Amino acid sequence: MNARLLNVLCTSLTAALFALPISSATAQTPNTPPGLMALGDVQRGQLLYRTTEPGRYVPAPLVATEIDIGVSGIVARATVKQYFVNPTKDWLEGRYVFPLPENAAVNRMKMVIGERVIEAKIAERIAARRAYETAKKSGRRAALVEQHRPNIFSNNVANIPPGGRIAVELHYVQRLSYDSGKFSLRFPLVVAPRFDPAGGVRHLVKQPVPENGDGMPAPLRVALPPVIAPVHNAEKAPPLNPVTLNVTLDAGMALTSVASATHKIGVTKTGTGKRRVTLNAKTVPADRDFTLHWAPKLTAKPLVAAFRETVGKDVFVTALVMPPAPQDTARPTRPRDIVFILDRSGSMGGVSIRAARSALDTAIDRLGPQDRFNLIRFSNETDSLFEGAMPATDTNRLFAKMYLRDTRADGGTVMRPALHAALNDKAENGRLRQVVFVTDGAVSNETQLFRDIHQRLDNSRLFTIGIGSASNSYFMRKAAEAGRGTFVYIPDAAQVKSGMTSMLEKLERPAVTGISYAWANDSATQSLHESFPAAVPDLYYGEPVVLVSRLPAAALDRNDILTLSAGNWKSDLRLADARPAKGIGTLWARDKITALSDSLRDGAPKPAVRAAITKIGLTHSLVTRYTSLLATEKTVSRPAGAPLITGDAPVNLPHGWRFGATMGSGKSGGPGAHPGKAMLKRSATPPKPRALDSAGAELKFPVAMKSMNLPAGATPFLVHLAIGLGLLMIAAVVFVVAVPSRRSSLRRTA
Amino acid sequence: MTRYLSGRTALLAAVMLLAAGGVWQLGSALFIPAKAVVAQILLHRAWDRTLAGEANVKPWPWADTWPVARLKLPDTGTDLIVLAGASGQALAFGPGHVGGTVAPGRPGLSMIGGHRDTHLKALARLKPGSRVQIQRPDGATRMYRVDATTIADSRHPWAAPEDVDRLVLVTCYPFDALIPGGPLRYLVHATPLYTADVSSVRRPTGISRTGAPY
Repeated sequence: MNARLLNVLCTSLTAALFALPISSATAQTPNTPPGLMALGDVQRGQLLYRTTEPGRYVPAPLVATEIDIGVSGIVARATVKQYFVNPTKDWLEGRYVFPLPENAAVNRMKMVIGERVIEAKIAERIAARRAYETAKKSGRRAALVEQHRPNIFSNNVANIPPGGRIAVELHYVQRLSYDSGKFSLRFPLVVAPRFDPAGGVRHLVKQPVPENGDGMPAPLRVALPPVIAPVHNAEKAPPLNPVTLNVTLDAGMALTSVASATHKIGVTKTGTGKRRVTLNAKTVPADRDFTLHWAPKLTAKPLVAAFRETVGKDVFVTALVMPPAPQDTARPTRPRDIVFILDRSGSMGGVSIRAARSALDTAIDRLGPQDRFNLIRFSNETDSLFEGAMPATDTNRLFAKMYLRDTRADGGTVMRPALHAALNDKAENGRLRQVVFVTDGAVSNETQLFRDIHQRLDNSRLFTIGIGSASNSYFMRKAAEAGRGTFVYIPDAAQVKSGMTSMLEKLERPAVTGISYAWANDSATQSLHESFPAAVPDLYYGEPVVLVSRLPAAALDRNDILTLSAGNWKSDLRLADARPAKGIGTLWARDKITALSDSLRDGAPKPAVRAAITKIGLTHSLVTRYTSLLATEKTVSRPAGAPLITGDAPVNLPHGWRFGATMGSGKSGGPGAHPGKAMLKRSATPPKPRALDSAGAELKFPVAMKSMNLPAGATPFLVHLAIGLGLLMIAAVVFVVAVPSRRSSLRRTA
Repeated sequence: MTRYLSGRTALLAAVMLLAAGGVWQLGSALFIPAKAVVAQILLHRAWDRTLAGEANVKPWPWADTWPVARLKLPDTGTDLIVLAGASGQALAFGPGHVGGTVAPGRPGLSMIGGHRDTHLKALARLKPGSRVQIQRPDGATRMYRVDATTIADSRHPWAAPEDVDRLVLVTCYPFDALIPGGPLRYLVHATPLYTADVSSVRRPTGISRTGAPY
């Protein structure tokens, strides 16, 4: 049955074409609503939604993306060009939900219509949305870029002419990360549907409920439903949304290697520390994130990189400084209690759960005899291997491995009980307590989780391992930040070894703590500055100090000094030594917004934070939760009578996700999600393997789809009538035929 | 001779039997519209009591259903009481609200089913632009506008996004088929009129996706 549903609902266009002869007979619809079309109208290679009515389809807006990333030292500036193509004969509004790196600062947008370029303006989100709706209704072309989460944005484009296209060009700035001798760039190409424990469903984006008193008109309120873009089932049809990607790399230092762990790339050397990186495949589907790593040539001097930008009366500077590795590189003598948390929700299915299992196998192998460990896993429910941390004996390790082997991915992502269970036990005297959290972070209650971690952490440290082709790196990074640990990203099974080695080294070696910094001029007077992070976090093995500061422009003339120190280590950096670069001010603004958002967790008043973020967004022309970029055309394009069809551009499921396992709602819904009732099923012995879900492509409907049987709608009136009349007629005929025979027989007897 | 006689008797008996069967069938046939009409009269009374504030008013003591809405099709002069549930028994008395969908007249996807040859015969005459009026038990009415009529195959499951605000009237198709229980269904899609932006059509029942590479 379920397999049949799957076939019926999620067929490829080819299948639909095959189905045409059957369905055309039933498709004699008296009227076709605007936007619906028959297959006869289709040109080749067009994307369609299939509708309820056999043989009737509605075309979807298509989005092709061109990405150009320019790397200069530790700053990446990217141009993302999205082409909205309207394959239909109607005017179309397209909406595309897309991810950007979690620290991307979107500060510019242009709408390109043929030869004309319309530069977007920054505006408060609600005002921008209202202006967009007005433009949309009046038939003017418009584009609106909004931020939904720190790493998820959407682009609405209104009044795309029939058969036409509109390009939207976005610009963003991002600081790159450096860890264990390598710089890395990650460009997310797919939004993983997030699990919402409240609703028990997955969706891409939930529009914020407008706060009271914002004067939003009622029609607008209803115009903001959760964005549940159709998720495309790649098992049935090739992935969508082609992407081209180029990186121009100017590392500012000699390089030893440039590689991508996720895509096949071509690298051309264009100078010392300069490379041109292209994808081998001309276009790739937007179904997995792109990563690029490059390693600078090691020199005797410790790594220092700094960039500055003067904007008006301010000078902005960002610096990356590598502290010396701690002398004590031996394994810690302090015994450790490690709790591993494994996310085995449906979104971890396929490639991810295998990578996660293998990552945990590696970690368990590396435990020392003095260490103790436990393993907690969760989806809708939480269970654990042991009742508490147990010594890492051979038997216990074996138990753990069997437990891991029997772990299948299924169900929702109800993370809190597992987190609470892991953080509830406190560290014993003299033991290090580490929580290692393996997940893809496909959750929507991020803020609540960060607050929980913050409040319950105590002496424990939380480390996150992001697994999968589209793990939510915003969640990974912030959770580790709240947990005073660090995070590593493992895109697939092939990266487990290197990723886990770097993570386990961090777990085993002592962290560099107590780093402080100050800006001062030559006469040792402290300079006025606003810097992020306000306090340098504990640094784990291989991690640098990364700072961004705003100073008065006079600081540049004075040539102020940034001094970093920890224990007997000290490092000085002159402001004039920082290389001039564009976008540093934007980076600073982005970090300030992050700091402001984080302050909410510590109880800062929401209206004040909102006002502050809005102000920075408007000043720095930055897309934030409260500010959006809007471009509108002045002239009206859509004729008054022509209707406008709205369509969400379909998005791919992340590579390796299984459609059936993820897009269904959680098996037993949300109960058990109550923090007080962290229902742990304890098992002293490894559980028996569950029946394999090999028939697992159990189709559940995509989010918010309702399936029903159509009621029967006819009575046997006509049947009864026909049979009745028929019987009477036969009776009459028999009677008529029988009469002469009776007469004759009477005659005969006479 | 007795053979002829008994032959005649048998023949007459057969004719009688056939005629009786015919009359019974005709009676059964006529009972259907009669039941449909009489039930609606009783249902209208029950509806008045519902509007007066009673809940789940049974139109007759042994009824296993109750009125949930009043459906008017001004274009065809149809005025019907909609029952809870769309089971075969209920549909004999009036159109039924399909369980699992939003109550008629409330925002969301609501479906009403009925017989093509009795109550919902009028659906055949609805055209895009026709009005559909729903009165809720609380007395409020909501006006819908038909935006499309379509045909679906009930052997395939039918799915719709839950967040659309839409009324779907369903009956069997084709309208003049002799045998009931065929697989085809006639669907009338109507959207509420009050929507601020009438010109912009919501995502048409975008159901399953089929994809081809761009």
